[in-house]
Amino acid sequence: MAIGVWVLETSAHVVGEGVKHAYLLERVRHWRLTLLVLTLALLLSVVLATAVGSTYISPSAILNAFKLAACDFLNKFGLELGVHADAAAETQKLIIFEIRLPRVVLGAIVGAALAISGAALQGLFKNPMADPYVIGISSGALFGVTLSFCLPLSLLAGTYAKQVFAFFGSLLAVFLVYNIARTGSKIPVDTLLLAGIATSFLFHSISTLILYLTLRDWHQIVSWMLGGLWLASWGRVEAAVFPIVACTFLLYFFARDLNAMLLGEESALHVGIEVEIVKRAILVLAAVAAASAVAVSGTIGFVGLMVPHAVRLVVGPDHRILLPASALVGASFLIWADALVRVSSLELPVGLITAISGVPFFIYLLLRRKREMGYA
Amino acid sequence: MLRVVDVHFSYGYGRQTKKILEGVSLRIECGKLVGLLGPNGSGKTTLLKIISKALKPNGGVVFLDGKRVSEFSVRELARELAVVPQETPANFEFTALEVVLMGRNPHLRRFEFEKEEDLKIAEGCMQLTDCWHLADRPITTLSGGERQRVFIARALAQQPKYLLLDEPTANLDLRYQLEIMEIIKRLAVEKKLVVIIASHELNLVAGYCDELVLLNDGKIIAAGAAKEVLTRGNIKRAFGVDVIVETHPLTGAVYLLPINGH
Repeated sequence: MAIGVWVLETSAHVVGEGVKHAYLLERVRHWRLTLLVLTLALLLSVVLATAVGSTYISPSAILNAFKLAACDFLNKFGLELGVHADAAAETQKLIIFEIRLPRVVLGAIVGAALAISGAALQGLFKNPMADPYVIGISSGALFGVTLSFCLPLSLLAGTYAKQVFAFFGSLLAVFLVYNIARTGSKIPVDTLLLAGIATSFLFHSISTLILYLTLRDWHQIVSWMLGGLWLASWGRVEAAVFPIVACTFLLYFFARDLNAMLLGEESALHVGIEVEIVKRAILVLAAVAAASAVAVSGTIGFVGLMVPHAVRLVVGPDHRILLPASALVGASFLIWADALVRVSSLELPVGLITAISGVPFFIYLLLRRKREMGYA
Repeated sequence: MLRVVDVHFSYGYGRQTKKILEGVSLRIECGKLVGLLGPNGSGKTTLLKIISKALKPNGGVVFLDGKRVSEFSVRELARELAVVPQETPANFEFTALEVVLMGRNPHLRRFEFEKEEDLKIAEGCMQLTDCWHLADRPITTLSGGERQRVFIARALAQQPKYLLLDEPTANLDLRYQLEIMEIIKRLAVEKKLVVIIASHELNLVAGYCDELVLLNDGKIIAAGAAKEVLTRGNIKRAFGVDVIVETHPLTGAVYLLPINGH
């Protein structure tokens, strides 16, 4: 946060001095610096959060484990480096690489996906209260995942089956919410939220009903419903990482279009943006990113609401910095929320933590909106 | 040159059909400033939307320099034609300069950042509309008139040959109304732009425009010089108001005085 505030102050200073021609260069430099700092913060979070757990492993031991792993890797190619590990170090290596690191990395990917999806949806709907959880995308994906459990289709048994089902579920939710909420060519806040809540309830209830009737893999599906990372594995990381990274890059592709669309769709059309195409593309990409996250970790709520909001306060509304910064902050945020869960040794679902911190934030946004409209 | 040929537009189907435009044709040479007048609901905004391709007409064609508007891509069109909307939204905290730089969008490639040159163009446009001093202010903190000038600067930053303005002076005080009209007039002459202004300010528009077009119920009922369009009969027919037509003692422009209570 402190870095971002500094960025804002400095750019204001530069513009205010009348040296406005340095503005563009300064802006790009500050964006790069912000992203660099956030990337370093994320890497640090990965290392530190790996140290945290039921037993504490010091960061130096973690680095040592990385060194061992690197040596193992090189040994495969016949390069003997003469680093020998004792049994304790080997155990630690196992804990780090097979238990903790997949969970931390999965947390980072899921957090990034939810945050960038939220940021893009907020821009698209011109509405700071949009978020994959609030507007029903996550519940749609959950419905898809539930279906994939109870349909005995051997064809779809592969790693990506859940992903594909989650994706179609989320698209269905987007389609419903979009068409219910739309009045003319606009999507007002109140109808968007109501349509989102209705769709969320619908898919959540149907999912529960299906579970009640089939009762297969009850434990697994409950974990999805609550939203947690305790089933993390490298397999899950693999299943989620490709669609999420792809969506992140593709969403960035539309950053400038999103900027222009914040000032109105017709206005964006007049500065040369194919509004209808862009709108659909962003909806689909945001849905795919959120669905991929839901397929591996369940419906973790409010990350996509809080993170872009906090980031926007610091870096401003330009999506060229807002989207990547939100992804990086979202990744760090979920890593630490999950670290909190692991330290508590209660194994709470991380979705509970994000909801407990997210709901007051959501209410704050509603109250602020009420004040802006002159009711308080 | 802008040519509008026999444009029709209606909403709805069957008996619910509401005709908005019924066979509108226009021809405007480069360098001309044209005022589009008419009562509320006469089809002014619809006509502007059809020219800017935001609406598709049910019949008829719009040509820009002999090329059909429907043949332009959205991006190509934005380099030729810019629109200043009636409402200028302010719900996100972009600075005035950032809004004007968005006007450079049709000239930039997908991943290209704005260059020095784009900034200079934006600065020039903002100085022209007297809002450069607002450059680093968030648009949420600007007054209606200030925002209007920022959006005119954004349209100019597109470097268009055609400029459409929908009630550009609606939120402005008298001084800025005159200033904006002066700027627009100068642009039309110097840069050989085709400028169309939809407006309710009959006297203001009459003083600056080369030609006027008077719309009523989706049809053009008069077009040409101010003296020919702003007659007692035409105003009575379009607005249902009695007026006295006078000549400005200094500029020689036509102006109208409504007769109240008759």
